[in-house]
Amino acid sequence: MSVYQVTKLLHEVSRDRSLAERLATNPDEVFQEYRLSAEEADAIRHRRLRKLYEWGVNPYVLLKGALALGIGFPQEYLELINQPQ
Amino acid sequence: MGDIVAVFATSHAPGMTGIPHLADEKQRENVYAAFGRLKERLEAARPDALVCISNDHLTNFFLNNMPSLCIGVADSYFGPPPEFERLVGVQPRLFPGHAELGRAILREALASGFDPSFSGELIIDDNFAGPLHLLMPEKTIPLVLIIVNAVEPPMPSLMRCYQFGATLRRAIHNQTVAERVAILATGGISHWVGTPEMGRINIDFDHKILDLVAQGKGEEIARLSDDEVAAAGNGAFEIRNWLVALGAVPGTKFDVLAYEPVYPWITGIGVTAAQLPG
Repeated sequence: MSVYQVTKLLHEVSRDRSLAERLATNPDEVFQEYRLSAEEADAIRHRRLRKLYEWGVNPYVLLKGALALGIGFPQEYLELINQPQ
Repeated sequence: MGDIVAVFATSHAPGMTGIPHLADEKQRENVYAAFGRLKERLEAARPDALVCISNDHLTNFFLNNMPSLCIGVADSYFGPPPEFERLVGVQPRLFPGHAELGRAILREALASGFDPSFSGELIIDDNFAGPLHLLMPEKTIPLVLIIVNAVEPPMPSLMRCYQFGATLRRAIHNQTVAERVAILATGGISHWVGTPEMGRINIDFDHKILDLVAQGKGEEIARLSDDEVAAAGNGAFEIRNWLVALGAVPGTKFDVLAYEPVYPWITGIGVTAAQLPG
């Protein structure tokens, strides 16, 4: 479990469109590059924002990363982050 | 000897310039009119440099190397970057930097028991892009950017930020490279960024802060506990930026030119200016 690595991926996705595209088309490759565990990878794959938040991902990064993943602001983001896990 | 000729403390919010039309018309007009008055005051103050204090939104710094305090010594500053451009709704610009003043502030800080990092290249994000767009849509005064960590704990204490303001004041007075210096601090007031509570505004907290600012009681804000500030959201931690500005003009009363809790912008928006003599 590395909150840092998860946060790093979301941070870099928010700044690098090609990485965001690779995450959409070939997520497993990206998850491997960032050394994410299966649980961490699933949380990003399935947009489990609440879980990511509870793990301690910086909320500014979480928001920026979510926008880069195409999650709508603010309604969809708020729905996802308030979804019980 | 330099003089502090204007001090402004305002909120920043991407929505302020990114989605102005979503705000209630009266609220938007009140906020924009207040920035208009700041613009007039800034022009009347004829500053040679503008020291801009705010937090970075994980644009320049990440968790691999997060300074508590960073002083810009750049010849120029660019922003907003692509990931903020659409949110903030302003065209990216290259602002001139006042590197010599930045270095003077850095030297004074190091001589005063502060150990900031420094940077020859800082990108402007949501922290300054909106307010600077409203204050200086065309003309640009050379900037010095000062970045305070208000986004990832542990952060410098509120009192430490207030105390740094005294160092900033001394630095401005003791240098000879910029005669007339204005200060702009941005951030807060209450808001939640990226958390489940995002969208709330703590109006009582905002009024409390603005009342203290108006009365020149920055030190009382600096004595608030972390829990008291957290009750106004993680975005309220950004009042650290204001405290640096308040500490630079201790005891000075401020005019509160606007306060509006603007829900579509997810922020309690405050716009204030110090009542400086002359």
